[in-house]
Amino acid sequence: MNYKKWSIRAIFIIIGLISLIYAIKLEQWKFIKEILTSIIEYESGGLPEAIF
Amino acid sequence: MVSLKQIKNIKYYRITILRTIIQVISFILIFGGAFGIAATFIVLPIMAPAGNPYTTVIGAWQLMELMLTIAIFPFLALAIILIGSLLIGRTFCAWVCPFGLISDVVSYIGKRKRVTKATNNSMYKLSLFIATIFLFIDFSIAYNQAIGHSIYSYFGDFYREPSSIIEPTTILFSLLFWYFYRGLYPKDLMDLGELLNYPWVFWFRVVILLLAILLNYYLPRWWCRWVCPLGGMMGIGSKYKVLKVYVDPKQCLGEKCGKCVKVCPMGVPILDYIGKGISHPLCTSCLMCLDVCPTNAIRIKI
Repeated sequence: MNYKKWSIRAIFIIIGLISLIYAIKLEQWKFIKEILTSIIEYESGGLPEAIF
Repeated sequence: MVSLKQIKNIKYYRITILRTIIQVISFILIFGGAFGIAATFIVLPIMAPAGNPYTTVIGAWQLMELMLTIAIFPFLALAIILIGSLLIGRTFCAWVCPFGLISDVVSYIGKRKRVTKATNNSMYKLSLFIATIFLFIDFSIAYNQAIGHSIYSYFGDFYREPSSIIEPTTILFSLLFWYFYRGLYPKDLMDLGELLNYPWVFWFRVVILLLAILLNYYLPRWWCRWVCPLGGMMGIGSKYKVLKVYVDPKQCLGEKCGKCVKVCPMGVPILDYIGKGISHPLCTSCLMCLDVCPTNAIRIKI
C-alpha cells in the first residue's frame, strides 16, 4: 500500500468535503446564480467604448 | 496528433468521435442561454466565462477569482477543484471545456511538432506559477478589501478577475462577444482608422487569443498544458486521481509501437507508466491512446 498517495488523497478529500460543507452552509451557489443572471463588465476590459 | 486525413478507418477513432460529440454538446449547453436554457448554479472545473450573458454554468477558476476579490472565501470552487481532480483528474479539460474543443479542432487539422519530455514537464510548472501569481493578486485584493483599503484602482478593468487579461475564453466569449454584439467594430472602410485608437489592452488580449488558438496547429493544447491556471491546479490532484488510464504490461508492445505517445495531445510519456495507472499531471483522460492502441493494452482502471 502506497501510504504517501493515500495520505495525500485523504487530505484532499477532507479539505474538499469541509469546503463543500461550508459552501452549502454559506449558500454560495446563490452567488453563482447572481453572477450568471446579471450583466458584468469584469471580463470585457479593453473594449473600445464603455458599454455598461 | 492524428490528422483527419490519416483517419483511414473510422472505427479506430470511435472514442475520439464520441468525445468530440460530447464536447460539442457541452459547448452548446454551456452557452445554452442562446437557446433559452436558464442560468444554473452549477460550477464546473473548466474555463467558462461569467461575462457572457448566455453562459449557463461558471468555471471554477472564474468563480474563485470573482469571490476572492470581494473577500469571500470560495469554498465551492475549492471543493470542486479538490474533489473533482482527485476523482477524475483533468477529464473535464478533454471532454467538456469549451476552449479544449477549439484547441482540438485546430490541432486535428494541424501539423504536430513534438517537444521533449523534459520541456513538457518543465513548462507544466509555468501553469502552476501563473496560478500562484494570480492567486497572490486575488488574495492581496481580498485582504485589502477586508481591512477597508481597496486596491481595485490599481487593476483597472480587471479588478474582479485579474487573470482574464490573458485568459482566452474570457477574451473570446466576453470581450469579443460584446465587441461584435454591440457592433463596436468599424462599419465602413473609412472608419478603419478607428482601429488604431483602440486601447492597447484590446489588441494585447486579441493577440493572446490568436496565439492561444493558432499555435495549436503546431503544438496541440499548448495553452492547456503550459498556461491554463485551472489546469495547473487540477494537475496537482490529478497525480493522485482515482480513475486512471492503465497500461497493461502483458499486452503493451512498448517502444516498438509507441502509437499512444505519438497521438497524445498533451505529450504525456505514456510508456513510462507501463504496468501502472497514468498519474501524470497533464493526462486529461481524453482516451486517444486507448483508441490507437493496436493490442488493447490501455484501459480505464480504478
